[in-house]
Amino acid sequence: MARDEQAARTTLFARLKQNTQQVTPPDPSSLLTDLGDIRPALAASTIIDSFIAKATSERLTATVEELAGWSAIPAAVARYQLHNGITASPVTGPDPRLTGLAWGSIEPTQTLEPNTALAVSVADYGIAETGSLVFTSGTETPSLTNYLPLHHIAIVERAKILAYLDDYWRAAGPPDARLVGFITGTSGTADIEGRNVRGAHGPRFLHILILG
Amino acid sequence: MQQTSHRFKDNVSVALQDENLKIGLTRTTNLLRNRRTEAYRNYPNFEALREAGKRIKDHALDHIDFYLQQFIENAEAAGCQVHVALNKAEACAITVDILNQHGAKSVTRAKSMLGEEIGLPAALEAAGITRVETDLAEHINQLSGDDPAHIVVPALHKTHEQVRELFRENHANPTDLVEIPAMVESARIELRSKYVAADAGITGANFLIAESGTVCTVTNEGNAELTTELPKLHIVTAGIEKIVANLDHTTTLLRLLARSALGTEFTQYTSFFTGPKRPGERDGPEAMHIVLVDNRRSDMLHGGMRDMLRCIRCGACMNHCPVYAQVGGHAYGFVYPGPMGAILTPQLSSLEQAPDLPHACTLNGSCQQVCPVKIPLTDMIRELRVQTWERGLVKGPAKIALKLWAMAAKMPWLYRLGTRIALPMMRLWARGKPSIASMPLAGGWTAARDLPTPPAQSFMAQYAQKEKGQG
Repeated sequence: MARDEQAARTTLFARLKQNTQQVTPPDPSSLLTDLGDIRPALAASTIIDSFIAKATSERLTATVEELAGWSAIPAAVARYQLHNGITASPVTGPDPRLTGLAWGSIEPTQTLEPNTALAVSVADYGIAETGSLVFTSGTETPSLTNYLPLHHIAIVERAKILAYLDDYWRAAGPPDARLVGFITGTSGTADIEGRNVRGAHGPRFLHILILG
Repeated sequence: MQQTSHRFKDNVSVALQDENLKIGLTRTTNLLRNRRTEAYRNYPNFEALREAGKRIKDHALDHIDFYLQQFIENAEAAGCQVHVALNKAEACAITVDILNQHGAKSVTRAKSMLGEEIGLPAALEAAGITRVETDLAEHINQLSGDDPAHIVVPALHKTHEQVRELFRENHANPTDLVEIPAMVESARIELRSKYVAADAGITGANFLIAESGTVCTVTNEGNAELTTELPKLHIVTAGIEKIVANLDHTTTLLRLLARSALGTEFTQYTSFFTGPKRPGERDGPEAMHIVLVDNRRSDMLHGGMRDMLRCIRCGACMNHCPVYAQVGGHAYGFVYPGPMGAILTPQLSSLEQAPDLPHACTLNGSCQQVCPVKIPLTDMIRELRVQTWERGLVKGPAKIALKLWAMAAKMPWLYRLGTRIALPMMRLWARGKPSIASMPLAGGWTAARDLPTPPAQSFMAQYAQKEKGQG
């Protein structure tokens, strides 16, 4: 198909011309000077308590465990496996923060399969407002680890839990990674008669380990 | 999809006789309305949030050429290929062309109403490309051959009993399908291998973010991410009105979207895609194409229907519409049902193709009250009614009745004379009963309900009497 993209763009932008507008719009941040007023209240008095309250709410159905530090992760993963009867190796991906841990007898693997039972990954940030975790894709943090398995163990450092969604863009800046994924609880659907059901396509179980 | 808006009245007759539709509609819309009310009850300053949402979308529309240009530049800088499609046919041709260039024979698709609007499913079929709908509701609709009946929960017209039958007949390895969770599990199993096998993934966009050239999608199922991250090619089809200036604006609109749509605070999977796979990345598409679709949106920008371009497709207006609650989505005869569809469908096609839609409204104003970006839906519907009259689209007895009414309303003496004659006649006909079961000339009205017996004197006569008494 011979297509003149430039001509299509010229036509579109001619159609979009409006008489009243300035060439450069006013600073978009001037539209949200009342951001403090229009955000919701946090669920609890502290950021961490709000995050946990939201993440473990009936709607989000995640579970939360607080750990002293990175070195406590392998034992926590082992406990989770035992508790949920998962015998297959957990998938960690190539993330050196995880592969470098002393896993002992667990032997995590890096190969993700369509029916991987359990994967472990590290979130960049947590958000108290919604109980969300923010993951960014990269060479050491492949995205599918967060979306494909049935069980997902997500790690977040306590100091990286922010109050509000907007705070993430302040802390991390505009997307540097190809995919910035906010994950808020487990996969769900309300597509059959509006009934909330967990585990539609993404993980049915989300276990969050808060470090520090 | 095939537009049947011009047959609205026939569609309604069919819909009103569909028992399953009635069950499905009641079960879902009641639930969504209650959840939304609950979500906002806990929000400290909801009105201010709605104002901000309106402000943000108006700003983007006021400067749409600037922000679209910025979006295109930033998306291209991130490695995307951007295509401008002026109409439906172009949008489909571009998409099919991209798929052919990549030798893609099968695609997974995450629910996109824009895709339905431009007729993408039919275009893919014509091109011999296998399409797998991954959103659970769209999966159900694909199996049953139905069009979407709602923009957020497109299979709400199906009862769980019907879904059970569909899955039993169509899934390769169905679960026991006794309860709804088992049906969801059955779909999960059925679709998993198809995600992996697909040559390309097609999604819509909830927001196009100018400052970073980012495409934002939201789902609760996580199907968009499996659609974008597994295949080698990702194609985004999006309407140009999805443009937003920056990330903060997007976050504000996201706070409104999930609450208005499903009464939840935030969607489970809210993803920001900027360009294709980077060097050394394992997952994600090798190529990312964005098809920006005008399809008459630029016309709306300049006319009286501009406010409709603020719409963020939450579906709250249809969940709160008494007409939608009775007739469901299919009766409207196009992708967009309910109040927003009554306005949008005539703009995207023509008023001649959808003359009844603006009249299928009680003007009770609920939709306008719940709209997260304060679109004056009722006012716009009223304006479209005026247009149908002016263009001679109101026909038959309705036209004669309206003309008579207009004549009487313009001449108070005639109006009073009419009521002075009609009231005693109706009281006579009622024979002392409080209501009238059937009335000559109003058979259509009294067929399904009673007419209250009017008082002896009209309101104006009673008012005049009262004034006199006080004076």
